[in-house]
Amino acid sequence: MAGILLRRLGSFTLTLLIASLLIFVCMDLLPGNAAAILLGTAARPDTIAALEQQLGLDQPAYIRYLTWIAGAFIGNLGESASYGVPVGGLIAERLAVTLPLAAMALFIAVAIGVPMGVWAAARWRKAPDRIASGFAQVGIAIPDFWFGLLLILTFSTTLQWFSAGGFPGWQTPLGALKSLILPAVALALPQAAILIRVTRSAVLDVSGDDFIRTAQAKGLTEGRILWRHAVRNALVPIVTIIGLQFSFLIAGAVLVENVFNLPGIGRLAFQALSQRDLVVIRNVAMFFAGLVILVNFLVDLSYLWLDPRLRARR
Amino acid sequence: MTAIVAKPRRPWFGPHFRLHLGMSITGVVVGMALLSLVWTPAPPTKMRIAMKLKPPLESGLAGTDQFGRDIFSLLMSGAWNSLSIAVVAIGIGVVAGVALGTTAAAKRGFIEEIIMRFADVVFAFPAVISAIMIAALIGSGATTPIIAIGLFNIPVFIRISRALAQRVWSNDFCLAAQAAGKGAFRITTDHVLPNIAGGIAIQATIQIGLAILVEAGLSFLGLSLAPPSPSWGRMLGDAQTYLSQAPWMAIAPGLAVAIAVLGFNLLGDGLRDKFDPRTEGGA
Amino acid sequence: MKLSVALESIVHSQWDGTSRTLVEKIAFEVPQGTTMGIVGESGSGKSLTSLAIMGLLPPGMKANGRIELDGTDLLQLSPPAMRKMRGARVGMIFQEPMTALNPAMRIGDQITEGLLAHKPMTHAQARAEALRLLERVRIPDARRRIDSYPHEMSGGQRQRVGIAIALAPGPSLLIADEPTTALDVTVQAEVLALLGELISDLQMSLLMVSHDLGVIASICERTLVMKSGQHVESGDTQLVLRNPQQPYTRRLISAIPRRDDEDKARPLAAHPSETPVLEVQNLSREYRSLSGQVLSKAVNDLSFSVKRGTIFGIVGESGCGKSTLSRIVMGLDRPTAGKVLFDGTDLFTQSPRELRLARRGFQMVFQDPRGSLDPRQRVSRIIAEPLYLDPHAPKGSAREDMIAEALTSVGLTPDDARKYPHQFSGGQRQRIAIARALICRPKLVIADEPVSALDLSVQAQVLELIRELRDTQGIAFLFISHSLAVVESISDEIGVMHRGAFVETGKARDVFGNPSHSYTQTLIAAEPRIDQPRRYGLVSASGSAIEAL
Repeated sequence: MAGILLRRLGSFTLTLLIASLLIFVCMDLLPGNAAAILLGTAARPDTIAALEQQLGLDQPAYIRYLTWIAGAFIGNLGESASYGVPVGGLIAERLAVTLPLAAMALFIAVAIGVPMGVWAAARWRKAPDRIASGFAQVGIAIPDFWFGLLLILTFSTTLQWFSAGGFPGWQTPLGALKSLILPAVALALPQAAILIRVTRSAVLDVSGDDFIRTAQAKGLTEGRILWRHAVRNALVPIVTIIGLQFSFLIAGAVLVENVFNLPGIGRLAFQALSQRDLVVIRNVAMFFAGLVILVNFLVDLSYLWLDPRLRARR
Repeated sequence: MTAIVAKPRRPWFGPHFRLHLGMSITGVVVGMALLSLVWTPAPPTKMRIAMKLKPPLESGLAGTDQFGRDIFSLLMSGAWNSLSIAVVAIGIGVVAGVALGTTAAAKRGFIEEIIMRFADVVFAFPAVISAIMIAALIGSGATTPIIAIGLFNIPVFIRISRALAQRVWSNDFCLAAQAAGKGAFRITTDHVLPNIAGGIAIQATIQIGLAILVEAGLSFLGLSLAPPSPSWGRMLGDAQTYLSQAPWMAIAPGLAVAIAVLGFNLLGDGLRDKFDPRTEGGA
Repeated sequence: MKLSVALESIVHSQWDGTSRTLVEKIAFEVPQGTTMGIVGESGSGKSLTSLAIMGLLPPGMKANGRIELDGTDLLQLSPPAMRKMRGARVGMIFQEPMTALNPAMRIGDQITEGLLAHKPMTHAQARAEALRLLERVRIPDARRRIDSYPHEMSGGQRQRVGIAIALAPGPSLLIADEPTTALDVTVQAEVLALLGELISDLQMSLLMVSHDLGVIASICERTLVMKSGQHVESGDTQLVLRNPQQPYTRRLISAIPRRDDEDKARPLAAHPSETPVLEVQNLSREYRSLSGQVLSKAVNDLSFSVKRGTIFGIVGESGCGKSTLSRIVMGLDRPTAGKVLFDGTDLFTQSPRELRLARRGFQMVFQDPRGSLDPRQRVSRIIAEPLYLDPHAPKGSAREDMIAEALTSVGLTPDDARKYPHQFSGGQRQRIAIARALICRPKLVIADEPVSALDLSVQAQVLELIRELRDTQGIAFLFISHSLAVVESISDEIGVMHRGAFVETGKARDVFGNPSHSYTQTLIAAEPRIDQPRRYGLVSASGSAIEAL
């Protein structure tokens, strides 16, 4: 058991390390020097040189990489060129919007997706299955940011129940929550659709297994067979997808935050791009990648809990 | 004794309903895209300020945008741009992903470990994030979404082709081929690839649909084709400003994306139902 | 308790709107305290019949007729009433102990679950009862094992847990669907003995479904023979087996592998002084951990030789190392010590190129005829595969002639070369696999469980083909199987393998006629045979009746 944990932890660290190297190589070593990008094409060479020195770009690459990584551990990620504030603080501040948004969206997606998927599997090829599958088929095809626009059109422009966007800040918790509802629903729709499909097919897969027949032969109720036996053993693929959806949610957040004008981390990345603020882009990318890798790692660990057979293997 | 008795059934909701519907929708979308190369109702990039923000049917099938361009023509040309970016990106993902995935299945141990680690790392970069990084380096244009979507799809195809290839490798006929003196490469080309091609094609169809979706998102953010090339995502971006004045500007391109994605998904699912009924309705 | 089945039909309505009748007109009765067997080959509908009694037919299938349990027609019961009957009055044991238990649930919970569904018990009472049942099915250290997960137990133990689950709510009828098919022969004997003991102690009735006439004979008083969903014949097991009335039953019984006592004169058999085709000397294969510790010895100091025109049979239970051995002899794995001499030359001292060429001289036939043929290739290409890398292999029409000849020699026609594997039955596929092995005129064919996946009658034909190839072409076979009867019927010499080593080798007749090692004796004693009726259970009730027969 301890051996497995150590191994997983090792590969988690390794993946993080490679991801950070990849980002560093892309953002710092490829053509298009950060200072030059920042100042634009009209900049004079001596201005560029001065900025390079200020940003530490005259140092050798490995020193710059190590500085970045070491800084990440003490929370010093450098200073944003366009905002003029430390990037660490900037990300933390924006997280206060993005994390609650992602959590709400994930909650909605799971609350809709899993029960509907189980329901569809339990009533395979009957009306409930057709309804849930049809809903999933359409839900996956709808772009979340467009769904966001439609929500604004319906609930803000026409019905005027919600404001069309913006974020009042957590000083007014209710207002803040309310402003996150529409974006969370928009984000959740395609994820719920994916979850319906995955849950349905995972439960159907298990339903053909021999132990389901054993459970039936015991004379158990349908509900108990479904939840204790079928769903219980279908949890591995379901949890895997929920983990993967984190990365879709983050990607979706960049778009949806722009639609709803929310000051989240996705919008930060987008603004940094238009400001050519490479320090922010690099750190936001690393943050997102790290989050996805962390969630994958946790999902990996959850397998040990979900499937007792895996605990025995080395 | 097995007697086969035919029984009447509902004609339209047959076993291959999804396949047929998917084929029809995809056919229409691809047809529109091809048609736009030679003909559109109005020149898609021509600005007609006098005609701006006209609702559907008042000018053209789907109305006009803020520059008086015909939205339906824009949608048709946008279909071509969207499809070609998606197909090229998925092509990159399939070629690189299948090559690496089948290698991982053929060469156990160290090489497999490296390939799967690589897949994990690349998978950690959602297309939007890598697109932002790429755009910061090379600016926007068709290359950005192609690289970003293609890159994200490499691990997708590494994983699926490895899983499918492992299933083929577990068969005794691969052992027989080994016994005949065939090396891992030869077994991969002779036995593994022909047996996984169907599964890969099905997945690629579904991924093209997803790529259209992601490309729309990227061009919504301005990370894809630069104006004036018509693009569904950017049309949605423009529509945001005129949401209350001209809602049709937002509805039509979104519908186009949804219908195209739905078509490819249905087609992929339908193919899976037909050729691999075991994994019915899979992920 | 009395079960009386009068099935009109079991019909499968398919998704495309057609429907197939899978079982037709099956009638039998199982009175209180009796044992009944249904025997048949795959596709005979024997399992469906047993599932119909439980109301557990797969989706889309429907049973018509009457299935009466003490006068109540089970087919007319509402789903909740059927659920109350399942488990409580009829218990069921399934074939695959590996998959029949929920992998994510402790075995104790899997037993109590059934108890709690039918009996007014507290959780603690149910757990105490589960513990008692585990002890009853003789799970060692039951107090600790009750909290184990299925994967922590051996196949035999899992099947015992399966029995405990079926017994828990105290049913009066037990249905066992191939309960021992997936088990090793010695484990099978233990499980059958346990089953027999339990049903006679608890005065239950048993309905056993099996493809194995020996298993049925060893425990069932009466037998029903089924074929393609239809009744062939039924009656007292001994009468059916000793004096079959129907040609099909007779065919089935004659297909049971048994030894031809007369050793026919075989012109191609090797001269005693001839170099053996295959000679294995002190072969060992160890598995070591990274630190060099020996984890296991899959093959341990094994020696034997196979002469031209003879069949050397290796018999052993799962995990005895026979698969590792066949992989090494095939050159797919390397030994850690010892030699494999093929026609007098050491395989593993040769260069890879020489090894490849030498491989033409020995070929392999695998167990699963479905998995051993690439579904995407035509038969002609499958058969020609061993010619790959052979510089002297003929091309064009000469190659086609070779393929045609190979097909003909296994009883197929040259036209079959254009077809794909899915167009053939299981037995025909195995013939194709043998044709592939024959194409380079090998001196030796290594056959690893070549008939284990086949039905009895098909198995007999394939075994006959192997004998014929030995006799007419002088091919030597290394024949590996878990089945004592099969190895006994076909081998000239045999080796009994246990824990990586031979416990006994010699002429097949001597080894089986007069086994000297205790393991061989155990194996032979465990093998169910149709001439040893009613070995398990109910001895007190009808022991004298058997004598009278």
